[in-house]
Amino acid sequence: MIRKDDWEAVLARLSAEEREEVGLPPTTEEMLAFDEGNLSPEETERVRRLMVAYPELAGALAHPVPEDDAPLPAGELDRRWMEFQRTLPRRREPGRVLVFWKASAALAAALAIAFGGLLWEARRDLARPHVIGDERLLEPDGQRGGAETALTLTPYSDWYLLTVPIIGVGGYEDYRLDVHAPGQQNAVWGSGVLSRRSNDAFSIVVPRRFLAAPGTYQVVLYGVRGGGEERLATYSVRVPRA
Amino acid sequence: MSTGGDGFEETYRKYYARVWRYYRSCRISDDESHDLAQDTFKRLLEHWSSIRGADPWPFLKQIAKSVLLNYLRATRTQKRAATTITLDDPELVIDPPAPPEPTYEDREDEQRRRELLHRAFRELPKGQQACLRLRLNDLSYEEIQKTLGITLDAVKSRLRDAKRQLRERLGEKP
Repeated sequence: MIRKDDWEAVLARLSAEEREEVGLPPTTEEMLAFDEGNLSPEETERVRRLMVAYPELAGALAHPVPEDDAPLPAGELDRRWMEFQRTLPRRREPGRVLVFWKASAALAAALAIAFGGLLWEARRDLARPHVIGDERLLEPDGQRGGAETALTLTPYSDWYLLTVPIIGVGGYEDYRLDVHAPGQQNAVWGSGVLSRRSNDAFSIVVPRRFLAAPGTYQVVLYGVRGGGEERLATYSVRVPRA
Repeated sequence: MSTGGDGFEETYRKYYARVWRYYRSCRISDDESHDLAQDTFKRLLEHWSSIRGADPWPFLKQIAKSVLLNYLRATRTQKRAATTITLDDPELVIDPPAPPEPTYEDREDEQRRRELLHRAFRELPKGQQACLRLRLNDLSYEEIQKTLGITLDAVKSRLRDAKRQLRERLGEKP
């Protein structure tokens, strides 16, 4: 009498023999095309023979997909949906992406403008002739004689070394120098209190930014004595247009 | 990948149970059926933009079959490798003790029965062999009909003839 395990053993042997003979199982695409009737007669027969050698595939392919909608137990579907969403790669929120790109674009534009401005300024500065320092000996107004023109400074110097001589105005404890811009009462630059030196001259360094605008500036010498001060002399200098 | 606001969630909720039941009906375990169902919807989502507006069920059905066939090809059609174990492995304990060894006569008898069955099977006409093998692998008559491309009556008659011939060759009474 044939037993069940005999059948199982023989079927396993038959399967192994047949698979050895026919080779690998059909591909999924071949099986689906077979199922849809989209293979040539020769291909259909070949796949059919393979299906017999791989009956688990034949069973799956022939097994009907249910068309009814019996629901899952309560809550199961929600749980599966949540689980499904968790397995998906995270996507970027379109709105946030847009904001991010807008912000990036704005930042890039601002940086471009800033660096562009700096570059333009640097190029403009480089294009301009430069004098490291303009050293001049000033003469008091009214003592230069002739047409009495103001001493002209170069407009390209980064700073001015001005030597202011004290001529015939002794007797003060201290002195002070101011620079007045054209048409302005207030000084644009001041030296602070200066003590008289043995060479009767003060050397002051005035950065160009105080004499930036073209025009005639006045360097004014004050004598300081007993808490008061007295205007002693003026020295006119002209800065031409660059 | 987007899953919101484009009808995908509704499709998922409408068809998930159906897809899962399909896998269960193919004798896939409950956990694996859920895994395969999730894979099916993942693949549907990948193609979602191309089927927007159309009825997704025919496409989903095709994907479900494809996922199942891939799964079966990968897991059930390969030669099973024997599990290996090292001599130091604590699992290497034979418990419970092995059943008593069959006698030489038992083994001879078993061998003889199986050779007889194998030969009898091989002597069947090819069409009967195919029908019987599919039937013994639990395919229904309709599934055999579809696989072999023959009529339902042909399936039944081939099976009937195959059983009759086997009984004769094995010396069994009907």
